Amino acid sequence: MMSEPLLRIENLSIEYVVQEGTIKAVRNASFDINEGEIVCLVGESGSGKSTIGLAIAGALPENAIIRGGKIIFQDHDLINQRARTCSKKEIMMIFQDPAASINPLFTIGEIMSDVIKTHLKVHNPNAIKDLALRMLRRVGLPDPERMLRSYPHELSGGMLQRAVIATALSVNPKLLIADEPTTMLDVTLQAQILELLLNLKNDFGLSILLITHNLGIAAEMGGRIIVMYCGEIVEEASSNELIRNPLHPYTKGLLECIPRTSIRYSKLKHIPGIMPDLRNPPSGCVFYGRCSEAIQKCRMIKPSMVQVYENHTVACHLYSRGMR
Amino acid sequence: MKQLEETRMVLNLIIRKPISLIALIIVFGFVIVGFLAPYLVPYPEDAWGLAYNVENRFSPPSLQHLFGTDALGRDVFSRVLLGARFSLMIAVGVIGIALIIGIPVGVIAGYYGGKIGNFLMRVTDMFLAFPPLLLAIVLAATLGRGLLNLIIALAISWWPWYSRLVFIQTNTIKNMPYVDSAKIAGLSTFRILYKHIIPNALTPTIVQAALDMGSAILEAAGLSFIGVGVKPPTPEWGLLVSEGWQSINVAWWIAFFPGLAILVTVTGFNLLADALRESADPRLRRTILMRLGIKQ
Amino acid sequence: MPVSKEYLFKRTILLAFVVFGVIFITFMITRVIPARPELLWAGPHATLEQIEEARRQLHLDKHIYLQFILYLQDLIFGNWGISWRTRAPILSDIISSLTATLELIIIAFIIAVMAGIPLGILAAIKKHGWIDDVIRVLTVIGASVPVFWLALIVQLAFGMWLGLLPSAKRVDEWVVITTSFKPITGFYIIDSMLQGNLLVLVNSIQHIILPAIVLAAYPLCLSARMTRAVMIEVLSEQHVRSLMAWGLPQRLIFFKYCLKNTLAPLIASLGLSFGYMIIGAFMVELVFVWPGIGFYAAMSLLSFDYPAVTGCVIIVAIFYCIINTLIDIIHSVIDPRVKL
Repeated sequence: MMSEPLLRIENLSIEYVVQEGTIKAVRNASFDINEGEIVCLVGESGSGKSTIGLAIAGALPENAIIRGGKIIFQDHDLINQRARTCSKKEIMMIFQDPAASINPLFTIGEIMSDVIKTHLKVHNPNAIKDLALRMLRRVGLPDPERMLRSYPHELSGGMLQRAVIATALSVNPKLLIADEPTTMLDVTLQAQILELLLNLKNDFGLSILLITHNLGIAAEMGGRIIVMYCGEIVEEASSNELIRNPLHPYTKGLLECIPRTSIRYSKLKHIPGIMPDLRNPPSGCVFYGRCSEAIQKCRMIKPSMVQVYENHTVACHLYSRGMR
Repeated sequence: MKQLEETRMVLNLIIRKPISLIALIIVFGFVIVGFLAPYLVPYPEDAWGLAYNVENRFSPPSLQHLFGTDALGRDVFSRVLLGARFSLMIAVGVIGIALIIGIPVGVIAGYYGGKIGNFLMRVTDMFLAFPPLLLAIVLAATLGRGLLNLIIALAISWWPWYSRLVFIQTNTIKNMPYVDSAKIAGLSTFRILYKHIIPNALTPTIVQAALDMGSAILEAAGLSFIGVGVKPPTPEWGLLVSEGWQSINVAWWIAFFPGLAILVTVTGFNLLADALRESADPRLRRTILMRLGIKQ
Repeated sequence: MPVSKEYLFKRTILLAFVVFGVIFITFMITRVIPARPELLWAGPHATLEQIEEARRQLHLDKHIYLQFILYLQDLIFGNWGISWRTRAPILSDIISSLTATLELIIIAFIIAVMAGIPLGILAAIKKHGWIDDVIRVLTVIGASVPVFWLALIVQLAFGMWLGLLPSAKRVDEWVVITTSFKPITGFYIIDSMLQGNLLVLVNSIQHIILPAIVLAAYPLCLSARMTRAVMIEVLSEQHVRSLMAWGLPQRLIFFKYCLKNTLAPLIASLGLSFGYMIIGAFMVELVFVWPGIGFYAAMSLLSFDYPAVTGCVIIVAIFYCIINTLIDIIHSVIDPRVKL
């Protein structure tokens, strides 16, 4: 019997109300994150992956509505507000654009100290400062004293993202949600930040939910990969398994999109077609319109997640019973 | 085509809200009255200030004289109605001249930059360093009273707003990839200005200018009120209020109704501007915010 | 964070340039554009000798460059000319009326900010609800009222018809005489408080209410609309979302973080509000017989007292430039990104 997962998402559905109608951004998503595990949520922009992250962190925009499902974190359902306040400090989040995600009118020190004060109930300024300095040093920032006094616009993107990570980890959370943490950074910095995250995960016993559009990054991070398409989870497997043996046609397509130097491809591939309108998601498989292997059944009936191998599930009719 | 689509969307947005519809009706009503006033007024001679009827002075609003009569027995309603024509002339004149000065300055400064551009923008800044209306006051005092002088005075204090607006627009558009490709393709400077810069930089400016007509009416009335606007007996709204002020204890209506006319008309323009600001076009919103003084 | 000396230095240099430019433009308008400036200067009923005297005073017999230098010299040494309406030196006229205007503007400013900013915040929080709609429409109407007309109506309604409040002058004569009140700073509210003169204090507050409210109307609506627009934008920004995700309490996010983000651009825009109020004071003071610089300027305009008008314009313009510089400095303290 496995131990209870740290976080369990059950049938989560989220909608955005906009002027043109209701966008069903996430539909019936379910997955677990175990303690000390890295889970990568992979998908194109608009696939609902960030929405899930925001929902777990409790920072959905005001026009978002959770239509149904559960977010169970350490036996509390986070959709319930009271439970949410109890476990606030256990879940922290970092974002794509570090320059936009820190208030430009406040110093790093002020923001860190507010976060620390709120969650750790420490009020001694010296203790707060010590902790903040320690964290800044831990994420590899030089001259942390000066860093505390700096405004965001005085720092580079990479330094800022490290400071954001330090802020998030200063309250010793159990789960870190990293929403495309390297997308806005240079390639060399990307690797550094990812490595830092891996290091921190081991040191702090963190679980990490890494949200990315880049399957390559997800593969490097190890752990489990969950592939999302248009608000639905289509495949889930350990990273080795997924890379070696992708099952869902969408995942296969994604893998072919990654530029590789070892294989002699003369042309970059892409997946033809466009995403369906999420105000009116199709009743059948969401990938039907772009799938090269689609069969008649795919148009009408939505495939459910089936376990094909151990630790490898997929939502595709090609693998449902009777087909294989 | 895209512009047409945008216009249609904006119009849709305006009409959907009842208040915006009212504003639209006010503005159209004002323009129509402005054009047709000489044919609409019940007492044309009173309106132009040619007739006196001292026995009938200070008569309160009645069916015969909707807004009452003034100290010389003239029909206030007629004078207010004709006042719309003068306000319209002033507004169109001020905005028109301001655009004629402001657009070339802004386009030249924004597109060519360099020393000339820098100089032009410094001059613009100098004019903007005056509090609004102050420059118009001293100009009007220098030129003397009169409709044309009033228009010139206001326009000269007004153009720097547009030149700065056009400057910013031009500067942004100048660095757009499509302008670069036009340059590489060997289009002449004139054609680039004509085909790319001017249409894109001017649309928001012209819309802004049309909506500024309310402010122009308001400020012109203020100048007339403190004695540097039009000459009596011109039935300009600000001057009418000023004339009514002298006998406000006896007959409140003489000052009240022209002021109300200003209020309603300017509110119409400003509500329309507000509705546009709420519409989604960020480019337009940016320029309007700038007009309000927010630095981007 | 203290302002850097470098920034202050640069800002002061810029101020000097702007003031120079303002004086130059005023010179062009008052001395170069008119065909015969001395006629304007001497007034409509001047004798030939007076016109000749004006010519000499304006150095019109000299070369134009020299005229400008002499003009600057006169400005610096306080030779601003004699008002032929009050028969007094213009600079002393202006200085003696400055505090009355400042008192009025400051009170109006406080009213505008104290009411405008909360209204704007309220509208932003209730975005697109009926409260927002009501506030928006009301503030648009408020920004469209001709201030001189509003002054007349308020004076008529509250002063004359209802008789609730005095509607002219800063203080009643009899109060000054019976309590032998002697202004020191010229701010009657402060003076009477310092002297413990309750009667004058109450009386002068009663007098300032109506004109201050009328003067505050426009900047109040302006600041409410600005606050709403900026607040809505701030609330939608990513850094607010991150603070939420980091679990900071709503109240802290709103009142510490968002408010500062909102105030920064708002303060930058206060200069314009101030400008509108100075000009608004011309009309409001005229109607309420408030003996400030606005009243002085408006009376000078109405009686074609050109030297006095010119003096007022220069003083007001320079004052406005200084205010804007101060506001920019304050803005740079709040928003560290602001650089020259």
